[in-house]
Amino acid sequence: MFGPPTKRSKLRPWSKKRGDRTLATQLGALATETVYYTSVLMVGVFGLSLVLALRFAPSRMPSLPQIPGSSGAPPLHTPIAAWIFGILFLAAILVGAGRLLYRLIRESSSSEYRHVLASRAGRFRGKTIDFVSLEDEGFRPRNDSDDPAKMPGVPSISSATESPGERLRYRLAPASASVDLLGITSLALIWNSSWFVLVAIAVSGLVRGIVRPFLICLLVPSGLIGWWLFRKMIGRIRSSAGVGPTVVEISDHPLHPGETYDLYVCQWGRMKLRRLSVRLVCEEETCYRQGTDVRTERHEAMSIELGSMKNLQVDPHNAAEQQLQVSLPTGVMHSLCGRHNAIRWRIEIQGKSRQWPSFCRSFPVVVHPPPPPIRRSPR
Amino acid sequence: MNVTLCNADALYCAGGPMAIGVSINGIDPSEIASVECSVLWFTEGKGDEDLGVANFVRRGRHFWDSRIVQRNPSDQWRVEDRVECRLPPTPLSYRGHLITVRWCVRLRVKRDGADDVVTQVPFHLVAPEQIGHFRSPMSVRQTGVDSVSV
Repeated sequence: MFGPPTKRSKLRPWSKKRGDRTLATQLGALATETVYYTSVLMVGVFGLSLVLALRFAPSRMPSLPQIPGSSGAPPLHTPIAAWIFGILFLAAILVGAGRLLYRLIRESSSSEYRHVLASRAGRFRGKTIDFVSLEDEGFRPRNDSDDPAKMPGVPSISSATESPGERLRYRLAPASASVDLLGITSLALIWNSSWFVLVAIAVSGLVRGIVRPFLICLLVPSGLIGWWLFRKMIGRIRSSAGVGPTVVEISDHPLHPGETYDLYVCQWGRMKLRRLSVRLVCEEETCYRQGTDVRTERHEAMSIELGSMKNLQVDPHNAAEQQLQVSLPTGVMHSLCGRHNAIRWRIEIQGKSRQWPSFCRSFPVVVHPPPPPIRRSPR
Repeated sequence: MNVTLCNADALYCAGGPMAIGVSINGIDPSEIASVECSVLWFTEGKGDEDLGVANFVRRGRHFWDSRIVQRNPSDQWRVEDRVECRLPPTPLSYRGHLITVRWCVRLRVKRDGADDVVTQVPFHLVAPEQIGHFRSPMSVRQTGVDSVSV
């Protein structure tokens, strides 16, 4: 607001916006959004009223002129049309009213106040809402600090502790299935399906004596791309299924800085491993908007080598096992999980095999801050 | 506007108590629509901002009528208040490569027909076992006060 005057950009709604530049002033945006959402709300009210009137009191409505060539009742008279249009107009009312209310609240209140309202709404959903005096103190929501067990911003450990281990107390769950595999499989299937559709069109044309040279020329490069995608997909499936399961167990969870834990790592499968290394990794992950894109950036803030094995022969009767100890240094940051920023800890197993591509499996762990000192009773 | 923290070195134990002194000078109390005092954390860095409010107190217009401390010779109004709260155990203050977690006390004065006036005082939230390390004589730092008109 107080910076140097900026050159006003041309109004180009079709071009990609980059950075934080906006095309309109804050007041203009508020006015435009208010007009837009009010219009949506009013259209919804009008349409729903019309649907209800035609559905429940059609005899009192003035008769609509008959369209030449059409027969039967007007479209909104049929029950199915009434339901479809009714739901559409109701959705318009809800969207218009909700967005209008949200925009006005956002404009008239501070970000802190909105956060408090949102947390109160969350507590209401959890059925533990409490209303504190609304008089001279304004209001003070009961915050999470009232309960020392609650740690705002720290992810839950329930998923990590629900599986007991065989050697140690907990068996850690691996990170969710690789998105790469799902992505390459989907892409390969869609591409090759489209290619076969084009082949079918070309063949049917040839049978009927219609030659499409452009389509036939296009089939060759797209077929090669399809073959490359198919090979990549098979390779990914082979490497993910061929390398056996990895088991990681830990003596306690969550982890606390300055404490030491036992760790058990076991790699199954049928392969020769050149190297199997175990690391404890702390990673910063941040999510930000760049124009209309949402980007994610990661940075490895800390990495502790826990152990490694070399030249291993793994078969179904002889798994590669390793008993390790994890010592978490004092003063490290605890796990954090915000909407846009996160600090994640994980145990990472990296394997380099002779016949398979290298693999890397991660097992998320949660690090809590050091527990408060125990208050001893005078007695 | 002046915000005073109970610890001069601005170091606070996670889960510990906090007292905040608030004084507003030079604004006629009848112009004050409300005053919001928040203890909050927010992130800085490459990513979009995350915000968490640990304590929020909102004082209405009538509250300040009883809190006028003095009307000094230069015809300046001055009102005072004190807020006490307990800090949450997390998130601790952190400075990383992509993410920085900062804590502050933010005072926002909403005035009738005028822009909000915002003041914020940063502080550090550290683990109880590390408070001694941070409180070494060399690491005591002064509290800064930033006043921003919004």
